[in-house]
Amino acid sequence: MDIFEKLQDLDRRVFYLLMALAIAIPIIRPIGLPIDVTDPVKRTYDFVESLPNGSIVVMGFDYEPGDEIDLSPIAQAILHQLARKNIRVVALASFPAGPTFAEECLAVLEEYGYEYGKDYINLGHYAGGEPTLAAFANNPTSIFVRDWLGNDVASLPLMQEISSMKDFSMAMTLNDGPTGGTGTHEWVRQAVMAHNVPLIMGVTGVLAASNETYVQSGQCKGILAGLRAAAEYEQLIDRKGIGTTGMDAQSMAHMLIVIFVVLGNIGMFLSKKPSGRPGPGSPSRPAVPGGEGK
Amino acid sequence: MFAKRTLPTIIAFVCGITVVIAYFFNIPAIQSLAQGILRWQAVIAVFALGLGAVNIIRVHVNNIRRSQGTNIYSLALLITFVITIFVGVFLGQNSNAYKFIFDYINVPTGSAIFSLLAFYIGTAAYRAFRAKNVEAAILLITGCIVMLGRVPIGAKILPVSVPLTNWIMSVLNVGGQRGVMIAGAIGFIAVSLRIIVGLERRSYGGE
Amino acid sequence: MRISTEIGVWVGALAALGIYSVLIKDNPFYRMVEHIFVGASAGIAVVVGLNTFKSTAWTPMTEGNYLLIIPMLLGLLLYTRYFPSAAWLNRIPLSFLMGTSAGVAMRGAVESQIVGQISATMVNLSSIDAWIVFVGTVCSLSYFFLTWKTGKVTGVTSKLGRYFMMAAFGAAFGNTVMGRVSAAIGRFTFILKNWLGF
Repeated sequence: MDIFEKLQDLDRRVFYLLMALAIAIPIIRPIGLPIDVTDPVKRTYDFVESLPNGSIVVMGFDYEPGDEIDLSPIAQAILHQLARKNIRVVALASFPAGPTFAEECLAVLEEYGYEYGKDYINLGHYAGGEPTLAAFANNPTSIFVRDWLGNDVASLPLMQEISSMKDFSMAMTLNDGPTGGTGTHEWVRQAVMAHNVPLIMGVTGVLAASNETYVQSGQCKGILAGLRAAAEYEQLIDRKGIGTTGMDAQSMAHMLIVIFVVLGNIGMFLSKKPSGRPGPGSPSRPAVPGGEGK
Repeated sequence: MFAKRTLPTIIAFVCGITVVIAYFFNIPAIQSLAQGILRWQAVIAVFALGLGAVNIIRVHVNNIRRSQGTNIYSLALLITFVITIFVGVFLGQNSNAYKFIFDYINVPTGSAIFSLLAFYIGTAAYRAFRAKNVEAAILLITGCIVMLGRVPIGAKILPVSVPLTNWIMSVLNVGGQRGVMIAGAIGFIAVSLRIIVGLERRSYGGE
Repeated sequence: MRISTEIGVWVGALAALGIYSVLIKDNPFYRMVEHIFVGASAGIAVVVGLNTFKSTAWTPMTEGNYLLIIPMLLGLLLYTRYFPSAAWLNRIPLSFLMGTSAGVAMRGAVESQIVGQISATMVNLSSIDAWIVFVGTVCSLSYFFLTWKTGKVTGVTSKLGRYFMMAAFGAAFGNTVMGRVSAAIGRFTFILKNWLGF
């Protein structure tokens, strides 16, 4: 029992150090744990496979720098699969950082011989969230007159095939929440309900649970949650990326947290003191300024 | 009085009701009007983007003024702000300098700030996550199973955690989340209706 | 171990280390990096905002869509909030934004978040899992709505609803941990591989 009480008073920085080691060591010395593909990811992959070759999809890059590691690997993995099916891509973004992420991810298409304007377009950023997405869905060129590179959107060959959201064979949002941009609910409303276009989502871990309801109801054809889903997708498309290499570290960090939870609860039952208390020297300011609700 | 109180209410009502009617009824004139409203909304919203920047400038210029120039943090913020705008506007968003700021300042810092929570969760897991009652126990058990089921090591040491995670996500989670979603949507629709009919004037600065 | 000689990698690594230094103690290095981040983010928002303004408003206006001057003037009225005597004028563009957003969101929410969810719960109750989802949905709804009178039955359903929601929040918690750890993995990979060259 004493040991648990001593552990309870341990400096919080010891926990931080253990967490840092759990993440760092597998990055330096990978274990190579096998990554199994789970049903939800396979279903999403199969859905994308079922899209007609040569069709056009729209991708929303609706995330900020903090969630880049969760969502860019998913975007890149999906883009590889789309390119193998000659599917063309129109990208847009509701966050200011989105167009740059889109540009970096769309670069993977160039290795498949994709041509800008003809096979893919980065439309850039739009302000106003859901109402603007609704306007885009009705008439894309009414919102984007110039693309991210400054080209006249209406004159680009790919855009001449698009007159409304209905012309896309699939919509995808890479999403970290609605604060300041367009969230997943908004995409369901504007793509699926208003125009009957099938939707898949790449979301941060935080949003995975709440959006699962859309998958179960059939309003969303597939959901890819975080780096783990990217790792599984990388297996399916046979291209290893940060998703795959990061999974050993992810394993160790999760194990450590589960061990902490179990030890903490054993300590509570042994000491019969069911009161959690904040650690000494807890940060006086919020960890993520303005990041609540993410 | 009319311009301050009644006009905003009329504008909110006309805009709201037009886009609702356009959604449910295929009347070309209304649909074209609704598209025009959505288009104008997109333009007004662009101006709203600048409000955040103005607020930041005001706060930090005041900080510098109050500290008589010794507040180096606010100074650094303003200098970075000005340099970023200069680079973006004059060198372009596709210039190497803009990409440098984006890839080597904005992304690493934002990502590191978000990841701090991984460390705080570590200590909280030990000190605060206690199964004090049935609800807390359910939360902890499902949380731990999902944490294990989401990583390869979970499949190794507790193979059942993977199918169990999928089941929790698609059944238990959906049962709970769907209730929250429906209840939230009803509240959300009620507030939206109140905005449209002018009962929620505070949302646009009225009293 | 081969340390990078690229200046950008050094800047990125030092920025991340500056943020992580707060884990030891709040310190000037952390505050400086945090402020630089806010400055850069706000700057990026302005740059992208100007680009969006050009694409959505200015260019089409100069190409003949002169009516767009009206929403541009309305947009400018948002800034009257900084002048107390004219601050009421910003209610006009705000009411435009709020009314439109409320209408657009409301029309789809009825279908996607209420009708769609209820029908998905009720239709095809052919498996045990479907029944569990049904019971969970009904019970968690009763937790929110049957608050005016708590009888024996509603007490049980509301309690069961709470349990279902706790399971859902547990799932959300597990996934949230995953997301935050992933962010740390991204930064650690950058520091250890790109910067230090392990």
